[in-house]
Amino acid sequence: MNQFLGNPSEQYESLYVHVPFCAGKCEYCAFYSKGESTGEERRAFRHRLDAELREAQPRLQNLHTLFIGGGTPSVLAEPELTDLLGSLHRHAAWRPGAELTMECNPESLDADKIAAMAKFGINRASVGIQSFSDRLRQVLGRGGNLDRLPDWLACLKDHGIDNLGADLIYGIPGQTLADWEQDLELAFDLGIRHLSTYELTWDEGSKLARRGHLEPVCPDLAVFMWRLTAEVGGPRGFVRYEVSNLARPGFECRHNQGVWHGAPYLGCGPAACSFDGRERWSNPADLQKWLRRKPAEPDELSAEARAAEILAFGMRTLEGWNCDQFKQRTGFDLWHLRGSQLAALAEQGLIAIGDETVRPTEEGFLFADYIAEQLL
Amino acid sequence: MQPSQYIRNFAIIAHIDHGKSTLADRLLLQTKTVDTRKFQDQLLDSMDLERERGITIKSHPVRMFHRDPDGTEYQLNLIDTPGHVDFSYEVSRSLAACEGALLIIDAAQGVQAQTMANVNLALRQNLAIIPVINKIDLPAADVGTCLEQLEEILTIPAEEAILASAKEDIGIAEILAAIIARIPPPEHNPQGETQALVFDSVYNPYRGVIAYLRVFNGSLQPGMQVRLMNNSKVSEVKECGYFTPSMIPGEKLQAGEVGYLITALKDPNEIMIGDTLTDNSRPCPRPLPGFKQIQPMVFSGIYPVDGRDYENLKFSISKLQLNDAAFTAQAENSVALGAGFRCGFLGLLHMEIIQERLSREYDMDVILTYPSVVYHVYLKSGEMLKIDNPIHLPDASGIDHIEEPIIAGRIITPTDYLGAVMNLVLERRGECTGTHNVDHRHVMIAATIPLHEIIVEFYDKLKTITRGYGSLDYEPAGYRADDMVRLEMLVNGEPVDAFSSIVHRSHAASRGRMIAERLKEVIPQQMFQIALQAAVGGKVVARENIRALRKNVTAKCYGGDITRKRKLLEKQKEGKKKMKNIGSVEIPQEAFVAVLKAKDS
Repeated sequence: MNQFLGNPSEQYESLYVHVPFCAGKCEYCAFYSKGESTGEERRAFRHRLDAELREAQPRLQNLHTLFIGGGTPSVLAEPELTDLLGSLHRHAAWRPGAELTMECNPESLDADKIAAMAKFGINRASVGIQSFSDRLRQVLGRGGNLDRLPDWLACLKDHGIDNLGADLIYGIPGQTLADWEQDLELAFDLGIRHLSTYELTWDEGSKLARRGHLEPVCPDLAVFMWRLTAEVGGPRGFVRYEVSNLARPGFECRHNQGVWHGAPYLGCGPAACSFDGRERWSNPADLQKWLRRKPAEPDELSAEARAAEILAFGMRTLEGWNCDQFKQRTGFDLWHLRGSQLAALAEQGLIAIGDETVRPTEEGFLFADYIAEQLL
Repeated sequence: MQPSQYIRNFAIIAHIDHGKSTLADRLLLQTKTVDTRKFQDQLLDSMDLERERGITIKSHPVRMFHRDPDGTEYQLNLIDTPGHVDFSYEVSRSLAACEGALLIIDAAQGVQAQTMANVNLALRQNLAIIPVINKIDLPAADVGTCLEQLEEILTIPAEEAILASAKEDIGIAEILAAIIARIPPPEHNPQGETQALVFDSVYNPYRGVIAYLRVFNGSLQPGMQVRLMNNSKVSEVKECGYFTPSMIPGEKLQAGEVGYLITALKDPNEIMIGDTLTDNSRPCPRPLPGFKQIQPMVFSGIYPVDGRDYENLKFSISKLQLNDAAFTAQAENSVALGAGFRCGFLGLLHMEIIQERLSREYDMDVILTYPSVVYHVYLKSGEMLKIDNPIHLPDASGIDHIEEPIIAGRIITPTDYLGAVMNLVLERRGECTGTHNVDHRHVMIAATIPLHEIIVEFYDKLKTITRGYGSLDYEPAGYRADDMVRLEMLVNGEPVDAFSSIVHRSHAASRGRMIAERLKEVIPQQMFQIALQAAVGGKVVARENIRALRKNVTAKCYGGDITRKRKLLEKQKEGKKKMKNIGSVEIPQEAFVAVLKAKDS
């Protein structure tokens, strides 16, 4: 037994808050959220969230990051948002230079909400765009339009929230390589520092999968689009640092970097997941059940299996693992743990093994699930 | 006990669905052998499978007592027999136990190839034949044509025919009268040495082997020591009796009678169909004629779909074998399918019946590999090998030539489809040796065809091209040399044993292409390209490629996804452990199963 995996008295490094509300439900989305909600439901949510944070308060005192996601956190009305941020302020504390992100949706942002975010200390916004093309947005079931997008980005910057990121989706039925190139260029032109690009997936539970009237684009095209992303981003100073994420160096999402590298994080809200350095657990993915304090679903694993899991998911990132860093995080030696598997993956050209590091090759990014499967 | 002039032993010859079982039911009711209250359709067919498919798989003897108008009581022994060509040996033994036969012809369908074959069998045994045109009540009944067929093709005078409808109870009394009048009583010598013909047997877990027999000379009774002429086994008679159709123990079985006998023998292979039973203390000088060791004609691998069912399959097969001496099984191993059995069958119907009984009676989910016949492989060394499994076919360089079994077939078809049927025969490497008119609308084609071609969906094709009216019957007609080769399927250069087959060289490419296409559909893409090749003697005759996987990655994987994702990957990994590794390609066993389960066409 090692001393590292199994020390739940440590401080959490990250905090995640899941806001389970949206204005309508997108075709592709399989995350837990309610497309319609009442003021009463939202009030109950904040009340319960406050309690959840309060209970964890002692371990939320030296946080490196915050990520408010969902759902669509920006659908909350300004007073509701202010109330939620107030709870965070009461129960958690961040170390200097911490990264505090909130996901926003251009259709539901406004100046008051931005002011509230800034007042609390949010310093990073991730804006869901998905596509600039009305035709493709329609396929995705994204309502609204992007008319106000430039205004809100300017407003965010005016309030000092200048670490901006955007989300795009590719592989949409009917989307051409040229369509994708245009979306990428328009996104980079917004002056963002971070870009997440997700291949459209037919996740079980999404409307897209249930309707079954559209088919995924052919895998070859999806791979071309994936490659094009880095080709368009490269000259603009963007580096792909994870399978689906690009950033200017220094502006990688620290919250997610921590998640991929085994940092302990607490997730609050329905469907939120947590990891205390040893165990994972998931809150019930149902607002009512969560409100009634239905216990979280534990995910128990032996120390070795957990270390292997941490190894596997770290390999989704360009950084991969440094041997010392891995030992520090898990207590295990990388080579003792999965030496032969790593060697086999290197043989297949999917990972590169350096003196002190292992990391995926570009081809390896495309086979991240295969790599993970081999390492688990 | 009745003197034998009051005994009549007869069989019923009929094509499937021509009303054999219904007529048998009628006779049982008319003779009050069976109470109307206990009556159930197809009384003699005891297996569900027999009732459902309207086929008779085992013999079902039954003794009836019938008083003729003069008041004389007769003992009528009916032996209901399987009619299918696969069981022609059993049929011949049942017929050998009789002096006469009812020949049933469906008034709407007319004479079928199978009917002819069985009539020929009966005539060869000098049986008196009573033709019955059945189902005359049907709107489509064409009695005139049936009578024409009788004379034309079976050379039976039309005036001998009895018009009947078993369903409507028409003509039953006439049939009973004809049985007594036209079928001779058994001839025998009651003082001679005991001689009894075993024409079938069943296995009962409590009582051992129950032999069905016809006593020709002497008699049998409990306590007697009997000897089987073929293997000289001696055992004591525990019980003998007759069927009503249930077994009724009696004091004695007399010469001329049909009944059953139970000895101390427990192994079904010791009491073989066609063997002669005699008194051990006073044995007969020679056995009754006609005994043959039955040899399986068709072979196939039977594998459990789920490898864990192997022991169950083994048990189920051994159970089926107790009642089916013609069904052979030997353990074998396949790289692709795991542990299973190489099984021998009398023919395709027999194979289907076994497969269905495994599924119904033992709940086994099995797959069968491509069927094979027994090839005679002549080596350059002068040696001859009998090969029924493509895997055992030696390397082509050592083979001088291969001979395959040929059948002499008779196909009866409406004249309109004559051309199509002749084409089918040619396509299947057969040769038409003659045609005869059956009546003004039907023709019979005599043909020699390789047996292998018959067992691979010939019958379905024949039915399709003749709109269901064509019928086929055949008998073995020796061996003939032809250009037979082993077709191998290779996955990235490695042979997949379960897919190898012995085929004619001219069919290798098309069959190879078909399997490659099916494999392509079921083998998941992997990280490298997969070549699927069909090869004969190292030469590729068909090829398909499965492209390499371009990616295997989940776009979104954040804090909330890790547990779910890990569990999914673990499950996949677990699944892959169960895959067969052939040519470094991971293939789910379901893929092999899917390909083998798909029907050829």
